[in-house]
Amino acid sequence: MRVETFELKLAHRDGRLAVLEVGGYINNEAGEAIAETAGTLLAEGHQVLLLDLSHTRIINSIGISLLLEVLERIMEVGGTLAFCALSPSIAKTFQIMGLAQYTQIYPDRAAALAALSPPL
Amino acid sequence: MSLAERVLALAERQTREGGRPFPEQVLERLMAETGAKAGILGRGEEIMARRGDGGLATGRVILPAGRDTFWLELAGGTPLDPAARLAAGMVLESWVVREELKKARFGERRRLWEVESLRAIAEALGGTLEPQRIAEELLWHATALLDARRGEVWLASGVIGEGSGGALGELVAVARVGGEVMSTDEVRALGEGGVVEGGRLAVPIRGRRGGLGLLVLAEREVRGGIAPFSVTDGETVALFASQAAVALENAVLHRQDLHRQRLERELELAREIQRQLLPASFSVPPGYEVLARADSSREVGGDVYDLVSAGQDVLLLIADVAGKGVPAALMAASLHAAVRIMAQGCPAPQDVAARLHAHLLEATPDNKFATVFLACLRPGGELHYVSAGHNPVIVVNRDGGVHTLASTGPPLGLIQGSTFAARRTVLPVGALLVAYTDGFTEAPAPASEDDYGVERLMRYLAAHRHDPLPELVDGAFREVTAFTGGAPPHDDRTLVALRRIAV
Repeated sequence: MRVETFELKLAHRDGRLAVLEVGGYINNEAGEAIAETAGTLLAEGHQVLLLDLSHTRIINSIGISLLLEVLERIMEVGGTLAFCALSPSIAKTFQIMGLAQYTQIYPDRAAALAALSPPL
Repeated sequence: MSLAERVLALAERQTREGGRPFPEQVLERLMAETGAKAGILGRGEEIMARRGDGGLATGRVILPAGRDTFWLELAGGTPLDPAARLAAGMVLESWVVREELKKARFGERRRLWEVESLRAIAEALGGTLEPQRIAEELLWHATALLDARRGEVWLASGVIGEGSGGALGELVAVARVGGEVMSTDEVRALGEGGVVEGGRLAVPIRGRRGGLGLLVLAEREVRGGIAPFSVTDGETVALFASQAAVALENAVLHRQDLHRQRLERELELAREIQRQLLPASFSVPPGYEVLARADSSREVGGDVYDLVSAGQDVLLLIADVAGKGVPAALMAASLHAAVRIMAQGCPAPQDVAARLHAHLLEATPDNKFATVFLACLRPGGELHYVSAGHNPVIVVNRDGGVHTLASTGPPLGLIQGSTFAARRTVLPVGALLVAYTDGFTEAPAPASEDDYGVERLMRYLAAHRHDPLPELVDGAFREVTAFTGGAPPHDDRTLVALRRIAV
């Protein structure tokens, strides 16, 4: 049986950048967990947040609105919210829900890191 | 800068500073400006922000705005001048309007997303013939669209290709999101029906032949809590479920079609193997005439026969491998090849039988076995034979006397440690020996338990013992076909007839 359970992992942090790996269904609980972690990371000075959605297939509207709030808070401090490895269905959802407009979207982690990491 | 101007400046950054809602920031600024120790900011009946505690000394002042009624209560400090109150009202009003606009835009986009989901699921379901994939697409779209916290799809075992025949069978959970919703017992108790009960929504996936599966969702999420599912939610999900039902039925039909095609290909292969098995020519021993005929059943059995020269003698083989199709045909081919090789050096049938038995035990994984009649024919009518579980071989003398050569042991490849002794008999001149497989004698009568049987065959052979072999053999096949009412054979029918014609 195919089971989708939520997992959140801080995979990487480096200066302004922090990478969160998100797996499973982004619903209210999951969205709140992401928002809380994002808030902590922002407070610690990570203003560029990359969410890797390789292992996420679904998100509901509550999850979207929570991500929109994360986006607002990041924009307030002049930071960047970025996503990578979106399934076609989630990419479409982000586009329709207006999340794609103000965020950076990359095909995979490597492309995102190359674009978001500060030049040496 | 006047106080009013400083309050208006708040409108430049209507954001949640440090995650704090905007009204709290406004209240904080007003308290700082007036020196108040506590305060409440509200709109109509609603309290928007509250800071400090203790009783509020001053009364409520209105913060005029175009539409809403904002009010402020402060404890201590200097009162706000009218210009500052107007400024505070305007700042709050612009924030409220902005929030409403955001919400409206979100609602509008959400409706667009619903439409897109309906389109996407139709596309996804139309594009796959895998039941598992269909279940996942259905579950993911329905769960996300209805904001369910958890969801599951259950499919009938017959739909996912387990279980047998046309039965759809029990429901099995195949995909899950967010955690378990229903236990197997609950699903079983639900039967063919669905359910909408506040926290849970179960919608059957019904095909034309019956229940194909079940979609269950639990706990509709709203911001900061859970709301009950509505009847409209049930209707939306039912629409998804009916689309999935069509896709699942197509998937089942497709799998059945593939299965049928594979069976057809297998049968074709089995027929080809069997065609290769038929001996192109016999070694007919001097002083005998021989004729054989084999009719294949549709499913192809494991019949094989041959006459192989073994020095001065000739080895007669007729065998029936248990089973049908490619496995039986391959085993018959293997047995045939083994006999042809062994016939070179050891014409004694009991030795050939013992070695074949060992070969079959070793070479066949499951309980495959074969009934075999093996006879070594000498020029003078002398016959040494072994019958390993084979049907009685019929001998008809010139005067019409009939007897049979009964089985001398168990079938080959069946029981470890079996031994096979040969018996000896002599065929007088004019005697007829007929060996056959059970597809011949077990040919059923239409609509009855009766079968053709060995007695009928014996009577026929006795009556036609003087016929030339071609007429005798074809006549026997015609008799069986007539007995079954012309039904196509359900098992291979093989018959070998041998007559001693000279001293």
